[in-house]
Amino acid sequence: MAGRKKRKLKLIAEALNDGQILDKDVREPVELWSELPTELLELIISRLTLKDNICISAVCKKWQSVAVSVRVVQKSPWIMHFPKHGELFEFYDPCQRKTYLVELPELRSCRVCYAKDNWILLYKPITQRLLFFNPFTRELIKLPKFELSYQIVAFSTAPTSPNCLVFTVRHVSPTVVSISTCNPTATQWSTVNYRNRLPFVSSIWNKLVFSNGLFYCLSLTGWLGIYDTQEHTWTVCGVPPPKCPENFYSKNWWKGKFMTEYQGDILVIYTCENENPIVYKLEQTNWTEMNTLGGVTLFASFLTSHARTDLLGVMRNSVYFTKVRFYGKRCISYSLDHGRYYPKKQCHDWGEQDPFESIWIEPPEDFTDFVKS
Amino acid sequence: MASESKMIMLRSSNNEVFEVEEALAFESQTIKHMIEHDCADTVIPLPKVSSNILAKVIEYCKKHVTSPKDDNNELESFDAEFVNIDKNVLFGLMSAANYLNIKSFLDLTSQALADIIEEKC
Repeated sequence: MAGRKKRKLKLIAEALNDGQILDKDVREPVELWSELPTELLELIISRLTLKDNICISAVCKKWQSVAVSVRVVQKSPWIMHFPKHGELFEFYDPCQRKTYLVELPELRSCRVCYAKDNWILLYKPITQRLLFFNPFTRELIKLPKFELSYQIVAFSTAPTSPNCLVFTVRHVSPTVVSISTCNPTATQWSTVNYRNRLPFVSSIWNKLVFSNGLFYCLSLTGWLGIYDTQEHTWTVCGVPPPKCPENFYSKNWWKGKFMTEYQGDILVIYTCENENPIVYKLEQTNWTEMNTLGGVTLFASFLTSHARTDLLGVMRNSVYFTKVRFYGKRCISYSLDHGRYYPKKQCHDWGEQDPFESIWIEPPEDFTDFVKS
Repeated sequence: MASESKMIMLRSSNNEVFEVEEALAFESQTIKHMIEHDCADTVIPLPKVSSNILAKVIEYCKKHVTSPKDDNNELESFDAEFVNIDKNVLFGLMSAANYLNIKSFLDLTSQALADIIEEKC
């Protein structure tokens, strides 16, 4: 494998450096790739994708230093572990494979609900309040009182943005849902009942994702309800759930689902104890099975999942779960390219994981202060 | 008859002189700066640009200055054809675009070279 890679790189280097041509009219040598001044090389290499940037950095030392200097790498989400007792929280970075421990007394008696844009949404049952918390800046924003029963809640964007909307769907009957929304600056929640033509079951097993002004709600049976935040409408999408293999309908079949969005596309991951996960993408009339994620990495946790590209230290076309094997400090992941889990194991029952134990969160660009504390 | 536009003289590295309209010459921030700050005489010397390259730069600037602003498709196809050349000449054009400080031309040539690398990867 190493020999093949070496030969390929040699071929690239040769192709780029093929001979010198003398400009006949002026007798001045025209520059070669290797003689390009650094500033021009930077302009060219900064236009390459991360994959190509890494590829060409092996051509020669000069190219390597330029490639590294212009390389743009995205931040991967971190796992935030909620302790069963106490206030010591664990944050795990899968790219660096580092763990950070932080005391967060502000989160005592809180249950995590959702995470997005450096913020987490939590519920405190004793005060019946939902609150926003940024573990990196320690900012806390309380919402008006609201009794959250057996339902899940999500938000559209960071609460510091004026457009932030918190959203929850509660089951009233198979054809009626109760939708409650709140903006962090509001004094109370607004609740409206909606009728849906198609039956829809809203429960704690539902998944919520916000994209392009719409809240998508995946029911435990795989039907999608869509709430339009602009038009204030609720419709159950006519696209039937994907046809999974027979084994997926064994015990706890409704539990092991994850949903996220990437560039406007809605993606759902179906898992099953003894089978490989399947990723489906929502299209106009059906869910299509994805054989590849096109270089994207998915981070799946029960309450919220994320999609990322251009990451270092993490596999592309893979799904990362919130379980870390501390021996070797690796996150358990599933590779679509290789059709297997890493590390290899007989089965993974993601439906049996405690939903409030861990969640993927998005760290800010600069977390040096957080790390020091 | 159109109003008289000022003509600028540009001398290449091999002493060939090109006469161009001021509007065209001003596509180059370097030349614009030299003229506005009276750093040049009647002829502006460009010792880093050969006449071959300079001729092509002038061709690019002429097309971009004279084309109507909303005709994006035509400019796009012109640009695509323009950089469909031997990569050694492309290097020369990129160097000139950088030296003469013509942003759109620099973007075009550097992207063309990045595309060549991408093909080889």
